[in-house]
Amino acid sequence: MKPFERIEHTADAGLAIYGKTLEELFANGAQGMTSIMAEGVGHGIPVERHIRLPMSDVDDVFLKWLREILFLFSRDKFLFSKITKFDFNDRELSADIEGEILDPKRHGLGLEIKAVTYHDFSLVETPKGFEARVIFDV
Amino acid sequence: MSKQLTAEIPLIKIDNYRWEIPTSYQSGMRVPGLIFADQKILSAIRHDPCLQQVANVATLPGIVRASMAMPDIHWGYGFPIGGVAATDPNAGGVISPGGVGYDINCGVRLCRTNFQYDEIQSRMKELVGTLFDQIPCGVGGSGDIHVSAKEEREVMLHGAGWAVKKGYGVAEDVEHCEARGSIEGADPSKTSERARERGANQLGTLGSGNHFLEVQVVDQIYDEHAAGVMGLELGQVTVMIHSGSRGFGYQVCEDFLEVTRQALTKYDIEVPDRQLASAPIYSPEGQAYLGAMRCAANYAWANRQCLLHLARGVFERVFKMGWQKIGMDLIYDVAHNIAKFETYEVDGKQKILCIHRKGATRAFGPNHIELPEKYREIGQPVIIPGDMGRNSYVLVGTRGSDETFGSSCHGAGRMMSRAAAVKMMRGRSVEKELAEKGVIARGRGRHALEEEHPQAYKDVNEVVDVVDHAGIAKRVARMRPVGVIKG
Repeated sequence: MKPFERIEHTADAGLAIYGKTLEELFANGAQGMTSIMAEGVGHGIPVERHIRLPMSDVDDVFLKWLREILFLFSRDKFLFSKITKFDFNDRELSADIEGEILDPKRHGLGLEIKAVTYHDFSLVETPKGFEARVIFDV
Repeated sequence: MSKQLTAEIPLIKIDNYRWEIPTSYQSGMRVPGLIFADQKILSAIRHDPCLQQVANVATLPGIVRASMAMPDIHWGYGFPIGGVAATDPNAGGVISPGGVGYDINCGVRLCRTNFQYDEIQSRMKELVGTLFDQIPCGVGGSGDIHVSAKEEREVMLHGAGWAVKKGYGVAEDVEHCEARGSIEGADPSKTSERARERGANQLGTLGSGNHFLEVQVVDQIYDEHAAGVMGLELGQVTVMIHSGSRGFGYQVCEDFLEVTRQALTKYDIEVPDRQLASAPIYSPEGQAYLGAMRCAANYAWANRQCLLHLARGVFERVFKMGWQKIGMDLIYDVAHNIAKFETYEVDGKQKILCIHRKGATRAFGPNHIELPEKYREIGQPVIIPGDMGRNSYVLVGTRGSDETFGSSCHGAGRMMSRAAAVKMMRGRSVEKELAEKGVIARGRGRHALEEEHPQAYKDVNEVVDVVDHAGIAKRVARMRPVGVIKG
């Protein structure tokens, strides 16, 4: 199963994201979004961050998760590479993540993402796990 | 969300440039849809579900006259890009963050020079290279202009005026901005810490996507008199800058999409698409959004002022003379993603309305009180960027623009996805193809130029043709790009 793939949108960038588990879906979503902004991530000095989100429905938490990842990039130039601890319970999502700081000399630059939109968003359970579709405003 | 194809939506032809979606098309439409397009542009629009969005916007509480679409309309988020909607605050009218967009006060400014293109043609490579080195652009680009929290507050309150006070320009620059480069009513206390953090290191940065800085040459004059007032003549070099409120504005929009989504339930507002989230103008949520949105609008004017300052610095460096001597005066700066209160006559009464311009440019006609003295007689300069291979325009607003609440188109409008554009260019080089046409282009991102290929856009000449013939704005001059930098 591919972790994610680009989907067409006239003005912007979209992703179809797949995961056998929710953790995989969240990791692949964050990786997919990061791949729109930069390439060559995963070889730099590892930097850790923590994300904590109150529980609501899964759709909402997933979008908020991507917005957190985007915020970390926007403020700190933090590029997500992986989840190291993922705790998703009735009260909250709590995750330790690892990434690296953008270095234009080393990373191939892509597009700046302005926002994770609600446009045509979907997250469904499939026989193979989970599938989400997200459009990013670029 | 329903994604009805435009082809299935009934359109009534009013004249060669106006088409109506009747209110009978969809339940809940309070006013008709009004689309400005000719037959050719209409067939391009038919490939895009944006006309459904025009109909959806027509359901907003308090909407007046029509949900309008400019000829560069394309599919957006809730609102179509290229949409204009006026709501009446005294008739339950709402304000919608989606009707402004993520990039609050994304806009364009045009600066003149004394140079004729043939005088500097041999220096273009050096000029574009230096602009590309000195003007931060692309993903994660941050510049030398950092602001403290206290100073960021000044940016939010005073916009371009802040930049000029810092020495990044002169008083005339502010005179030549829409709203004199800052809107009143900005309320920094309504912005989130997150928005302010995202904005702290992005002043004086271009961004990526369709944002650009172009060196252009005037290749057509349609109105000698108006061009003369603006200081434009054939063969002259101009500089155009397209950017907005950067991460600060994106975050303000995101924050208030959430607030207004909740307001839909609170105020019992029914909309066919939840991205049309909105709140009554006279509600705490509506007022809070307006206060924050104006901060972002002012940030954007400060940003474009900083970018102009950087560009002037590069010209000074390359040509070894002061920018005033080069004649790099700002002609005008316009917003094309914004909501503002303006007065119009509706059903024989003067009303103050909230005009949402989502991908639409203000186009005030002559003698409007908000215009600087210099442009009172000719009307407001309306700056329309095209793609990097064809043209851009400067027009002037007309009295006819009262029909569209003082609004015109904002650009060419995309018609091909970024992925399709990259695919089309596989094995080809945009940089080389543009160079053959006399355009030196530099892109920061790995596909920055491919994604922005001219063929991904409608022809701006056709778009401008429609607004000119419909009488909303009149052509003054056309430019063609000779140097482009892109994020």
